[in-house]
Amino acid sequence: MPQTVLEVCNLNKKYTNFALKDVSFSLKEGTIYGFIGRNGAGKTTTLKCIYNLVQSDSGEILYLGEDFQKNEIKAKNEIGLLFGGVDFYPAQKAKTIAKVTATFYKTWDEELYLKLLKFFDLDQEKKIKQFSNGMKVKFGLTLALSHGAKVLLLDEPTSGLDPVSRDEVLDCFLKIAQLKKTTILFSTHVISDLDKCADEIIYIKEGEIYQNSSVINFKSDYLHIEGSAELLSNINQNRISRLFIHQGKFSGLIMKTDQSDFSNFVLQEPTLEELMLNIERGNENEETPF
Amino acid sequence: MKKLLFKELRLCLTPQVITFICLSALIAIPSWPALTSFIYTFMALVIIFPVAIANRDIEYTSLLPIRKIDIVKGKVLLASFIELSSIVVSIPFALLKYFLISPALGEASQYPDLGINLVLYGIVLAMCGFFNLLFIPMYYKNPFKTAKSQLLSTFIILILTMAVTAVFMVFPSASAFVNSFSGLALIIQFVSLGAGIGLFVLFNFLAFHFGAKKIRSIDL
Repeated sequence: MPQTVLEVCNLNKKYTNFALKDVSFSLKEGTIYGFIGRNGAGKTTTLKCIYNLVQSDSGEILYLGEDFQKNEIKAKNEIGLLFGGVDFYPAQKAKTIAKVTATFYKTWDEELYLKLLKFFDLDQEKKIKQFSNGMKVKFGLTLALSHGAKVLLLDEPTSGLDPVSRDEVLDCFLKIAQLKKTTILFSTHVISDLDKCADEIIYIKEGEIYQNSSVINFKSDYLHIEGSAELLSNINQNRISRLFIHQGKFSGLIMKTDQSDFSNFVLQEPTLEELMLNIERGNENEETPF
Repeated sequence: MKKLLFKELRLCLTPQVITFICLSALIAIPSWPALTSFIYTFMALVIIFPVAIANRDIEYTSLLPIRKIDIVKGKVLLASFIELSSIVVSIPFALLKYFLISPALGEASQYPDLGINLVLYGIVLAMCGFFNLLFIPMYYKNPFKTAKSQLLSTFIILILTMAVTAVFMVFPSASAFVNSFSGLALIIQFVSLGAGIGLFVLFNFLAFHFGAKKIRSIDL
């Protein structure tokens, strides 16, 4: 049974127009968690509360069973946090930022740092402003990985990356989770990334944890359905959610319990993105301004 | 503390700040109130904070394995470093003025002024500490904006500089006394320097204390 490394217990934070409400979850060693939800659902605020950048109104963060705030420096030494890419000190060379960062970590691994630079094809002699968005993300990951973090909290680490770079980063996540038993919690709007590498999903909706389960369980209630649009008239369309018709074909989601009624159609495991859209939008047809 | 200072010096010390530090050499200018040459030090201090905002310094620092309050400690250390560097830079030029320039110019350079002495450095140290105490807690009320804290602190320190300079101009006897080598004057000089050092340490400690209190309550 993997050890629990980080526990978030009943986290509350109230703003004028938004509140985190009793956010609780725990992270286990060597597991990759996808932290998903709409923009403004509370993902970044939760990550900032964990790292003590935002003062929560109530709640507790436990790192390896100990209070995070009381052991802040030790905990932060073992947790890597990254918001997007490295966008600091644009006129400084990446080498300088790495040198300064390294002084703060007892566990900084210079050899690993150089290997990661090579792996991500980064030139540390370049200034940050000379990096593309993707390179900034990769450099941020290089810094976060080079101090041998036991837990990585990453806020949209794959945004701005091209498909090849995203794949490299996701491969990297899988390897460090498997080989180094690193726990990774990452938020993303590129939900297909989670299909590739996440073990667990933590779904946050309007400041509350909506679902916290394994990817398999998350997908267990639904099936993706598709077929010819002509056949739609023969079936009860109300039982298909997220019904989408395009170029003579339809697709949507059905409950797994209804599977036998749709045996003439192509049925597949749904993607996380479909399920997320189903949670957030269901069958609603919002009026558009055009 | 060493790591924080290293980070501040490596990432936040700009060439403009170094130029301003060097401007304390202006203390050597004859007939110029010695205290005003340190105004540039305060200019250096108000420069580093908006530059840090532009460089997203606080976002970077907050990701490091340090306590939230250490962000303030780093900046207090940097401010103190800049102030002490200015003082160190000024010393050879102060000696140059005292031993060479002023004697060479004779009466022409003998404006009533605080002059070059330990009282001057005591006052400068106290004023530097006082500036940090004014500026840093005010800045950390909202570390993403600097205008109000910059303007207010600079204005107060300018008034204070003018007031101290004026006192010695209005009362030339006070100036003559602190610049003499009588036993009492020497005691006052050493006491002033000691008091200046003490106030510098105390004010910086308080600047950190109140700044830390402010940063604890804000969301980064």
